[in-house]
Amino acid sequence: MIPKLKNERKGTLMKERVRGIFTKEWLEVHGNDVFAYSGLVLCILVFSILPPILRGINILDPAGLAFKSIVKDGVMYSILAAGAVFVYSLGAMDISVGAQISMYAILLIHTYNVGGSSIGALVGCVALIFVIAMVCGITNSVIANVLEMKPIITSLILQFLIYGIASVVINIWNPASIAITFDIGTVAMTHFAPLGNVWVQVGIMVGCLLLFTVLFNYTKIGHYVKAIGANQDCARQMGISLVKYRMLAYMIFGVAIVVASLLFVANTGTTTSNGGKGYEMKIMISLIIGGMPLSGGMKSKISSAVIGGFTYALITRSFIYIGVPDKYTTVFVALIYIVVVLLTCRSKDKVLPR
Amino acid sequence: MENEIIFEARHMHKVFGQTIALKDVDFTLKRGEIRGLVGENGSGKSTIMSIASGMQPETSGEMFYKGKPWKPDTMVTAQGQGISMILQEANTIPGVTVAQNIFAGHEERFTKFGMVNMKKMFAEAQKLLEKFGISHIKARDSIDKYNFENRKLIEIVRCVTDETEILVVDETTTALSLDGREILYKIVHRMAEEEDKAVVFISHDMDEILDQCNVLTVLRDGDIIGEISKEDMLAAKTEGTKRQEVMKRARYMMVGREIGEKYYREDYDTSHADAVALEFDDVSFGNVRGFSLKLHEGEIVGLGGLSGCGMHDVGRAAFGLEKIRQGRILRNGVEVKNPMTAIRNGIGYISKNRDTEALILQGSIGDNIALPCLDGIAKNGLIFTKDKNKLINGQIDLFSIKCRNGKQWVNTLSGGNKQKVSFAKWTAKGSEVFIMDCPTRGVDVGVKQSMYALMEEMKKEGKAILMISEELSELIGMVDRLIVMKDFEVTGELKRSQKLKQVDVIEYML
Repeated sequence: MIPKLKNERKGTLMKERVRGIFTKEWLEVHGNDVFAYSGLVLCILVFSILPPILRGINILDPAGLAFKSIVKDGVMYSILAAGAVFVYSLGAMDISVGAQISMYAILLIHTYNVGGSSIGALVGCVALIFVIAMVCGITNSVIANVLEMKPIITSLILQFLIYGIASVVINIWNPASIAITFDIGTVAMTHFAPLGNVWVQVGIMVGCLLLFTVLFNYTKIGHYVKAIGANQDCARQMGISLVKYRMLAYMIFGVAIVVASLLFVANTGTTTSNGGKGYEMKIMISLIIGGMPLSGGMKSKISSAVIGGFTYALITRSFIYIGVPDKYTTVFVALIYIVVVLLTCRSKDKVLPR
Repeated sequence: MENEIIFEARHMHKVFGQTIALKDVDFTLKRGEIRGLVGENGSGKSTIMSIASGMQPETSGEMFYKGKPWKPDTMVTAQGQGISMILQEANTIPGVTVAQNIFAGHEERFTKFGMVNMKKMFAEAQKLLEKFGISHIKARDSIDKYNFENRKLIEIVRCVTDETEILVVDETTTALSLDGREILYKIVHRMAEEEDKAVVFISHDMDEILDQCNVLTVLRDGDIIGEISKEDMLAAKTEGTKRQEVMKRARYMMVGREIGEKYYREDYDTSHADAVALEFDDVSFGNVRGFSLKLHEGEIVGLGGLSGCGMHDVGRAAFGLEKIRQGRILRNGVEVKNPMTAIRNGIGYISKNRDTEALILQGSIGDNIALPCLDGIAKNGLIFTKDKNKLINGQIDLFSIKCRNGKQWVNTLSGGNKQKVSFAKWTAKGSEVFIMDCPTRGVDVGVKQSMYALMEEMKKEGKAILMISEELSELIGMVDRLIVMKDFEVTGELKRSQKLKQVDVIEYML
């Protein structure tokens, strides 16, 4: 009897402890996280069961193509979305991402080819696109500040401009598309090849996320961008330089875009003038699915990028593996997007910008 | 008709998360009453009336209006049925005209075949504005052209219609000038005394409550504690001793303890250090021209006048929020050009616009307190939660902020506790010069008392305070030197003295 009583007491204590953690207050603060994490777990469960039954594909097999493609997409979305968190926290948006990835991919491939596929050419080119990304970030934030425009407008202008330049450049260098030139037998010798390895990409993602998490949670930058997004008049009266921290947010996003462009080239080896098209929307959807309030402010967090990025990658890729034709995938994603928007915009924290 | 019950709430209960805002409250309002509702911040006085006027639903309980069950789903529904509420905070729609604000939700009155006859709406709105005696506001103008006070007057015009049977005035007068207040008082008395309607008057100003109301209900911690009868209220209007006695009784019921005699400073010692903490050297900005002032360490200087006289602009300029045309504002020899230089040089600013400028409402108490102090707690550029929490908890204890913990969001706090947070961020920062613009606006008597005590303590510690206020009694009670402004110019300077009376100050204000 004594051991039974002990166990009962243990069980009651455990229940009380659990109740103590999951209070109403805790749910108010972490409700969006619970929703986002549950979504990811549900997707993993559904898509680890359906593809093996319907198509005989195991998406959880690390050696399988399905696993690798999902992880690679998840890595791309997570890195980009984590960088975007800094900009979205401000209550701003940047829709020039896709154009920037297209342009950087062209520059990377062309310079690498012209430079004799040497490591020096690669390093030089990465430095070049890094500088361009910083200039784009500064341009986006400064013009929006000086002209008091909505940042989305400046990024729209930048998007058109960059797509235009990319189109001109690619037509001069190599019409229609551009690819890394290498002998098919020595593919492993290109300096991009190691970056194409799924575990290397996961390592890069972890590094980026660590850096962004430290910047967002443990430095003034993260605290200040959230404050600006929550109430810019108040932030100004707290001595926060709106121009400086907006600029820094866009520059950090620029770093994420550069890393993502490198991985993009490593994954595809080729690009067109609009190879990165659509990434701006993918980032936005990832963040919404991850529970990030797109109106910015104090509830913004990096974890939304990772959860949302992988959930989105899992959904979009897994539709193909359960036999949904590629052409219908977008429709299904749109439906999921609508459901998430309907659920989140009804919440009292106003996830979507007004 | 008089004494007929027009509104009744039975067993009204309201819960916000873990906070119980109303505890099984029974409340009755009769025709002809101007019922004052007083209580500390968070006592539930605004909550009960906001439920009655359709702003939010009750958790449990029932309401009756004109003898029938009452459950309005929106404020527009309640207003249409005769219960209107003028809110404490701004409640106008930006970016549209004054007329559109006045007739918001009632456009159908001017609509024919789906088209709104704007000409008719403007004419009607202008007629209403003139009827209320505020013809300086034009119906065709964009509402953005008008300041907070004028917007409040526009709200009054919108809320009070011929159909209004119950008017709720929720701490509105703090935003109004003397003229604005007179307009509101006339409406209130006309409704109750001539038209046999009812008014609920929520205010922290006990003098105003005693002057305007004919019956008083006191709330504490979501419960009705007591009532002061019509007879007592009438006597309090005429007899000085009775007034003091009624006031003392109401305050005791509000706080649950003796407030004590000490409220403002009791000393008349105007001494301070010789060192100048903040200097305005012939400064011109906006409409203010050639403003000069030396604020010394250990000195409290007051700025008084009618709202719109330029005193609030002086406070903003002292914190680097105004563009200076001429002259300089100096702190320790450094020119204050923007909030960053001001904060770096030990200046803290408590804006009168608490909810829009002073606080991040959608943020935690901790974030609000810690944000200006991050430079001080960062180690090698990194901010650790442990250091942040230490700073935050220290301030929560110092100001006795009523909260669960530092993670609680500011928008869930009462007005007084919000104000404590806006004070706390500058004391946490270690500011030496405090610019306080209407520091006790919308806070209850208990919080006021502790804020006055804090200011006195700050003076003793050698801190300099520039106190801007529209309440003459607190200026006279607290400052060493009072500068009076009118039409953006200094019209008088008065020294702290036992003999100084409100009429002496008003002379320079008007």
